[in-house]
Order: sequence, then C-alpha cells, then structure tokens
Amino acid sequence: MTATADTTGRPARRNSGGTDRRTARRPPPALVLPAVVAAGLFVLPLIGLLGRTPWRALPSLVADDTVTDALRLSLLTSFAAAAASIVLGVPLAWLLSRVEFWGKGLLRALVTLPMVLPPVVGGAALLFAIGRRGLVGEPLYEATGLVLPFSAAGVIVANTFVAMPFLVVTVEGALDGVDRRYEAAAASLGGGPLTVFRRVTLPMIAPSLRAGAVLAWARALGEFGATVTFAGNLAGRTQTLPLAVFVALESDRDAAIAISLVLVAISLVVLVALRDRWWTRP
Amino acid sequence: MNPSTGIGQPAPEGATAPPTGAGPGLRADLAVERRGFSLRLPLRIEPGTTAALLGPNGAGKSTTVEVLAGLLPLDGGRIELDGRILDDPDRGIFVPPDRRNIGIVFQDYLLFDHLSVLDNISFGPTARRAGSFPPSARRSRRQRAEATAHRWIEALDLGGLEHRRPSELSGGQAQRVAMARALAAAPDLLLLDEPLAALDISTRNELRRAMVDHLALFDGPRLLITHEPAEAFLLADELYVVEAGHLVQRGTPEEIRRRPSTPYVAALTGTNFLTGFNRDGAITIDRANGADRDGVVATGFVLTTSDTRTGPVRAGIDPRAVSLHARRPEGSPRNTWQTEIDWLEPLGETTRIRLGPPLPLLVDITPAAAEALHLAPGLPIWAAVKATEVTVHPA
Repeated sequence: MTATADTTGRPARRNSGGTDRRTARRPPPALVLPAVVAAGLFVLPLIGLLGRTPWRALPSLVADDTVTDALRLSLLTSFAAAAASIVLGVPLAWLLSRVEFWGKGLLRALVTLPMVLPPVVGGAALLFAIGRRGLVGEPLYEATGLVLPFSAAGVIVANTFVAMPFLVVTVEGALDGVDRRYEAAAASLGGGPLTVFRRVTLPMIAPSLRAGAVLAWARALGEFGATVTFAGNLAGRTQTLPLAVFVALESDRDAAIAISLVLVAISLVVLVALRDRWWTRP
Repeated sequence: MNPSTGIGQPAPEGATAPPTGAGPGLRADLAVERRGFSLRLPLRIEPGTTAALLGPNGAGKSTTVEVLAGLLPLDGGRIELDGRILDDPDRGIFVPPDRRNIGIVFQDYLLFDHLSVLDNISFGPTARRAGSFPPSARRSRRQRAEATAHRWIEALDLGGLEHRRPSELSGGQAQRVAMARALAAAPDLLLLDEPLAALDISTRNELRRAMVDHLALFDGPRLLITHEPAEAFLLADELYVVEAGHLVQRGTPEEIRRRPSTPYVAALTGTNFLTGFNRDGAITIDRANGADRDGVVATGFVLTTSDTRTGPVRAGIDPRAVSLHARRPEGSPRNTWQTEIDWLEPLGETTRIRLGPPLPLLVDITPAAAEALHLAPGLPIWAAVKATEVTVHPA
C-alpha cells in the first residue's frame, strides 16, 4: 500500500482497493446521533404508511371517482399556483430587490407573512378581502359576476397565497446576489432594462428560480388550511388530495392511506425528476 | 446650441442627434464629488486616437469609468460624445447607460457565461437594433446580428470558439471576446478598463502587442484606463496622469517621459527623476531623492548637463537614454561611471534594469542588448548618459 495518511485536506492517494483514506476517519457521534434521529423522523412515517397499505384493494381505491377528481384538481391547482407564483412573484421579487420605495420593509414582511401565519387565518383573510361580500370581492362580483370562493379558481388563489412567498424569498435572495456589473455590461451594449432583465438577470438566477418554483409547487400541492377556509371542500370542485385524505380519515381509513400514497408518489416523482438537474450541488 | 439635444430620448435609430457644433470625438469635463473624494478631469479624445488614463489605485480611474458609462451621474461639468451630450447636470441632461453607445472592455471582462461566445458578441447588435424591427423581422435581425458578430470573430481571430462558453476560454481568448463584444455593438467610444490586468505576465506581454492592432480596428476615440505604465506608453497617443482625482500631467508619452512634472509621474513612468544643484552644467545630485525610495546616491555624484543655469534643479533621464557597456566607453562629452546591475526585469519589448550605486537609475534596453552583454544581477558594468539627455527644470 502506498497510500499516505492525510489530515491536511489534500486529496489522499488512493490505494489499490480504491478506498479514500480520508473516509476512514469516523464521523463524530455527537453529529451522527441527532442526524440519525432526524432521518428517522422522515423515514418512519413513510414506513408506517406503507405498512398499513391495503395493497390488494389499492387499485380500486385509487380509481375511485373522488380520488381521481381530487388528483386532477390537485395537479391543476398546484401547477397553476406555481405558474402564477412565477408570473407575479418574479416581478415582485425584482421590485423588492432593485427598487427603493417607501414602505418596502413592511411590504417584504407582509409577503413573508403567509409562511408564518396559520393557513386557516390566511384563508379567512382572503374571504374577507376577495370573498363575495369582501372588500374587493363585492365590487368585483357586481362588475363581472365573478365569484372566487368555493371554485377551482379560489383553490388556485388560496394555493398561490401560501406558495408564492417561497418563490419570492428565494428569487429575491438570488437577485440580491447577482453581480450587478454584468447588468451594467449588458446595458453598455445597448440593452434596455427589460432586455437586460430577460437576457442577463433571469438566466443568472435560473437555478434559484427553479428551486423557488419547485418549493412553491410543493407547498401548493400540500395546501390544506387556506383552501378549506376560502374554497371549501366540495368533492369534484374544490376538494384537493389533502382535503380528500382528511375526509376519508373520518370514514374510510384504507381510502385515506391510498390517497396519501398517491400524494407521496407525485411528490417523489417530481423531486426525483428534478434531482439531477439542480437538486444535487456540485 | 440647442438645449434639448441629447436628452433622455435620443433620436431614432440610424439618425444621429443634431450636433452642438463641438465636433467629433470625446469632449468631457468630469466633476464628481463623493464622500471625501473629488474628481476633476478634462478629457479630449479625437477619433482614431487612443488616450490613456494612468494613475495608481484611488486616483479616480474607476469613477471615470462609472461616469462615462452612465453608472454614476456627474456633479458638474459635462460629457459630450460626437457632439451628443450624454451628461450635463447644469442642463439636467442625463443619458442612461443603454443609450450612450459606449463600448466597454471591463477589467474582468464580465462575459455572460450562460451565452456562447457567438451570442456574447452578437448581444450588442441584437440589443441595439431591438425595437426598430417588427416581430416579423426578428429572424432577419438575428441573422444580421450574427453576421456582424462573425465579422468580429474573424477580425479578432476567434474562429472555432463560437460555440464555447466563456468559462471554457483561456484568459487571452476571453480578453479578445470582450473586445469583440464591445466592438460589435458599433460604439461611438471604446473604453478599456484595465483590459490586461486579469492576465498572467506572459499572456499580458503577448496581448499588449496584439492590442495595438486590435485598437486600430476601431476608428472612433479610445480611452484606456490603466495603472500599468508599459501599457499606457505602448498603446496611447496621449497620456493623462491622474493622482487623487486630479490631472497631474497630460501629454504624449514622449513628452511625459522626458519632462515628468512631479516625482510621482517620474516614478510612475519609470523615468529617472533626480534633484540636485546645478553649477554651470555640473549637477551635484542630492543624496536623498524623492522618486528613488530604495536607493541612496553617493555623496558628491556629479552629472554633466548641457543646461548651464545655476541653482537647485530637477533632472530627468529617460531610461532609454542610458547606455550600458562592458568596458569604459570612449568619446563625446558624456557622463560615464562604473556600477553594477541591481536587478533586471523583462517587459516584453524592453528589458528594464536598475543600476546599483553610485547612482540608482532605471535603464531600458532591448532584450537583444541585454543578451549580448550577458546582463545579470551583480554584474559590474559601465553606464553612460549624454549631457544632452539630462533634461533640467528649475526646482
């Protein structure tokens, strides 16, 4: 063996077995033990779920109309909320990062509020604001006949409300970190502010934008409190997968487990599909 | 003059703003006040000529770049380019960066790494023409931009690198891409901010020579910002030496070399600058000399000059005017003395040498001459300077 013991941080020479001698050092138990507990917290519930799954009845449970309706609605509303978060949230993040205006600190606090607020409270607040009798909702209804609560559109609004802060916070942080001199270079080449944003700033923050969009989508998929308060729990219209699970837990435990598994599957598919693109850091 | 000229909304693409009668090129009087720092700098650059702004860190070089680029407004004075006013606080005129038409080669190039070399270079042509074409003409606009980019790729010898990412380029290649990107935008002024500072020494020497040709590709006014005298002296037609926000001296490289106005300029340009007392053409050099911090002159060292005034003087000796000889040189009225090589440094076109006692001087000779004399630190050598090469100013 020619490998040298190396504690200096230099890459150690590899021996014939291909083992890196640096990995031979044991990680400290003070870090490993809490990490194992933490990992258990994430793994055990999934095992619990799988252990109670009625595998044989699963296909028929999942094929139930209530479940497929909820699945379709969940996919539609979560992706719509993620899209709305991008379309509205990126400009908002840009404004918070790049423009000085009065009340900016307060606005930033309000934007992040839904991350802290119990979603039920958010849903209620939405109802007071854009419900049919709400501050903005009433004139909106009288002018256009549009009613947001208790509709699929209402679900999207509620989802966007809770999900967009994740995107705004992520993207604003990325915008703050952009080297502004690149934008100056683009401007010196004749690029107007919008061209610079589109062709330089946006590509530079693309990884954070993707991460923010996935966070927002994930948050929207799991949304419960604001949705049930603002959009109700109407099977086939506003009942998303999390609401369906909640209802099923009261009546049919096997159905609840089946729907939960569907949620787990969708989440894993999306996270794994994106993993190679940006989840892993170099 | 028409006060509305050059205001925030410039004339439509293709049309040039009405001239103010001041003529082509850059005419700028920069005045900037910042906390504890003020910049006062007049700049006049004719088309087809290169001016260099030479100064140490903190002289105001970056501030100059910022005000010209439009990243920082002037507090006073004005910037006029080809008769178009870009900044004039008195008249409330400020043209934003994207409408100034100033091509900039940045110190660390700032190439867009999410774009290929080709897309970096066609960024300017695409952006400049944006808005003047209807969407149906987008395709032809893009094609035209790429045709422009290809011309510059060829001019700067970047063929074969079109589809590389900037991060995959060598330092010298990246520098040329930055140059091509700036020039492809068809600027009215080319601004080079320490364009070679990011390169290692051998690449820098190589590119410094290539820069002469690269600069000739642009027929507008050029401004080179640098702290590197060798760069400024090689590339510039006119030098602006700045210190602490103020113009210390302005002139051709030759004028500045021969007549540095302060010890600072002398040290900066590598000119030998000595103080002493002239008595009818014989200057007794002071033992301590300001420009020469690490050398002490031997007591009573006398330089002969053709200038016969009497009194305290400043004497300048161009490093190129000092000749070195293996044996004691014969002939014409000149100063000769024996000394030794303190150190020597190859600077590409020349080799710079510092002599040891009795008179610490900087000497520039050709690498071939250095080779022929087998020059090395510690080598005993004879130095000679003609009396006419010792320029004298009253102290």
